[in-house]
This record gives sequence, C-alpha cells and structure tokens, in this order.
Amino acid sequence: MRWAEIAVEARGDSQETVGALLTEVAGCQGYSTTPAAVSGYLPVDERLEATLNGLRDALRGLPAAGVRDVSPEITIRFVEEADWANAWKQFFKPQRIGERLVVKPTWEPWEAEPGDVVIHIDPGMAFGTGLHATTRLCLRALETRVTPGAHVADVGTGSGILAVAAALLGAARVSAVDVDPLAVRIARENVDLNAVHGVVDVAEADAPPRGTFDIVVANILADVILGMAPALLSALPPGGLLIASGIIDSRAEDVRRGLQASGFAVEATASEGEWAAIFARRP
Amino acid sequence: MAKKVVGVVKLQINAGKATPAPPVGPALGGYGINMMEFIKGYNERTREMIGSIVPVEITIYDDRSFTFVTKTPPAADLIKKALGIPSGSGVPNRTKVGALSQAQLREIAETKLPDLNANDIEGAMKVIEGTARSMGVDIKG
Repeated sequence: MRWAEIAVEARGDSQETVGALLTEVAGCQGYSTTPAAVSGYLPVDERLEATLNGLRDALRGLPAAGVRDVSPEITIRFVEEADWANAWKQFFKPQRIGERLVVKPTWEPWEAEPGDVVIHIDPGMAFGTGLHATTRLCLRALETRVTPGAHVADVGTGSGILAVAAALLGAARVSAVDVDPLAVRIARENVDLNAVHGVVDVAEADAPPRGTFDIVVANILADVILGMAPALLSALPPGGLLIASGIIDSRAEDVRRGLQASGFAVEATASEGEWAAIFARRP
Repeated sequence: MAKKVVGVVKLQINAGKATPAPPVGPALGGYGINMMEFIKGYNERTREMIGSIVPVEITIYDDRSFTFVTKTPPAADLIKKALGIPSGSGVPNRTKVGALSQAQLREIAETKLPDLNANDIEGAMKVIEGTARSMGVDIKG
C-alpha cells in the first residue's frame, strides 16, 4: 500500500493549528511533529488530489485567522508500507535471556555454547521478539520453573516464543492459544522452525485451552488477565502456577487483588522497567 | 554508561487505538524499534482516554530501547469536545461548524497552557482561537 506523507512547515504553537487542519480538513489519522514541521499521512487514492487542494485552501486562510509561522506550501513524499513494516528487523539481534535461553531471529547467525537453549524466531507482525520486558520476564520465569515432562499452557501466544521456549526447556506438552488468527499462523511457523511441532499445539481461541496444566503463562494485558482469572484458575490443578505478564506497573496491584479474589494465592511479582509479571498458584 | 538519544518522535494519535498504520509506522519504523511494542505500551497507558487524541513524545535510544510520555490532547480535539461536533469543517474558509464562547475558549486554553509555548492565558487563548478558526469554528463575543 502506498501512502502520501504530507508535510507542512510550521513552528511553535502554530503546529497545533496545522495539526487540526491535517486531522479535520484532510482526514489524517493523527500526525507527527518535528520542531520545524508537521506531517500527516493519507492513502494514495483518487481522493488525494481533492483533499490536498482543500488543505492548501485552508492553509491560505490561516493568516486571516491570526495564525503565523506556517508555510502555505505542502511537501509531499510517497512511502511504501513495506518500508517501515520491516525496518525494525535490522535491529533485532540475538540476545541471551536468563542463564541458558538465547532468542535468535531467523536471519541472524549464532554460535551456540554448550547448554544454550536457542529459540529461533521470526515474529512477523505478532508480538513477542524477546526484546520487550514483558516477554523477557516470562522467559526468565519459564527457564527456572519448567521441569522436564511439564504440561504448559500459553494464553495469548503472539509469535509463539513462550510456547516454543517451554517446549525447548523440556515440557512434554504445550497448548498455545491466541485470539488473533495472524498470531496463530506466525506461532505455528515458529513452532515448525524450532522443530517442536510434536510438543506444541497452537489454536485460535479467546480462552485458556481445555485441560489442566502445571504452568499457565499469560503474557497479555492487565484487563484481559483479570477478565480471564476464573478460567485461568480452572486450567490449573492444586499447586499449579500462573505466570501473568503484560501488566503495566500502575495496574499490578489491581491484578494481584483480582487474582486473589478469584482464588489464587499470589506468590511474587517480578518487574522490569514499567512492566510486571505476577506469579500466583492455585491453592 | 548513559544511553544516547538517537531521536525524539512526537505523535498525535487516538488513545487506546494505536496501530502500525501511519503515522505510527512511518514515524517509528526508521528508528528500528519494534513498533508493536510501542503500540502495546501506548494503548495500555491511554486505555482510559479512548475517544480522545492523546499526543505522545517517544524518546529513542541508541540500543533501540525507548521511553514515552503522553501530553494534553490537541486543541482541535478539545474544541470538538466542547462543541459536541464529530469533526471540523472540510472547507473552513466557507463552511462554519460551530462557535466557541469566551468561557469555552478560556477553558481549553487553560488545559493546553502547560504544553504550549505561550506564556500566559491570553497568549494561549490566541493560539486556540487561531486553531478554532482554521477548522471552521467561530468565536463568540
């Protein structure tokens, strides 16, 4: 898909006004600013020319409205979606997490040391590169808690990184689910990449998988975890462990209280940056 | 060792509903941060403000990590809310979509003052007035 980047030179408080023109007159979904310009994006289609003419008209009316420091000219640059969709990949490098785990993008080489557990990942647009604090918190937790032969559920699997890690750490069975069909597809690809398809099953669902598991990991968001707490509890036998992550610091207390109210015994909270992971057991 | 800042990106986007579509994708893609991770953090942080545009300033460091802070909604958003209108005028010089009272103008200016360069409330009111007129909104009185 092609987009037109529309930039208008404007400084100081007049950027507010130019932003208003981009969203209200041109219909941009938001805009970005630098000290000297305001930029918005519009899809390249048959309406673009008329929209730009309307915007130029509006810009010419600004001096009469008492708005200064705005150039009446529009600078247009065409950009392809692929240009930014993949740009971040060049910065996704192999990284060691915890003692043994190594997250390695498929396109980067890695010389594994004895004992390394290497997770091969191509995250596509799904969440879970291991670069994010929420994913790292879960990976570290899995490394110390997954015992050989364990049964693990991964709720909100995203790229499948946590399910794959559990399998590589010795789990006998891993059931992963995600509500997003795209995530399910990418997770399956990553399961195949790591040759753990005999262990990991990925399905599209908005609830924890059926059955009970020694460990359930849910790296999602505070509200989703709270809403699902009773279902998460029933996916665990007495003594089973929930690793709840994707929780922004300001919500950690809410989640701890919500889990307790649902019958969990909260054991510990780990945090990195502004994100928290909460460990809770079914009593 | 302190991390070096490689870029600061300011975006004005819908609270709780950021996606990789523009302006987020093109603005952040070039810095090499994983934009899904920004989107998750932004949406969670702004979830209670859904329906408003919540500007965000993202600071990107040389190790591709980033931090962000959210700001007051843009003037256009506050003007629309005050008037209860869904959008400004597509042809602001010809079609007017409403009029702000002096009290509404002052209230919006007070909200925006911390994020404007204007030094006082009168200066901020001038900025809001210009923005209002530019989107087809008159000022009463």
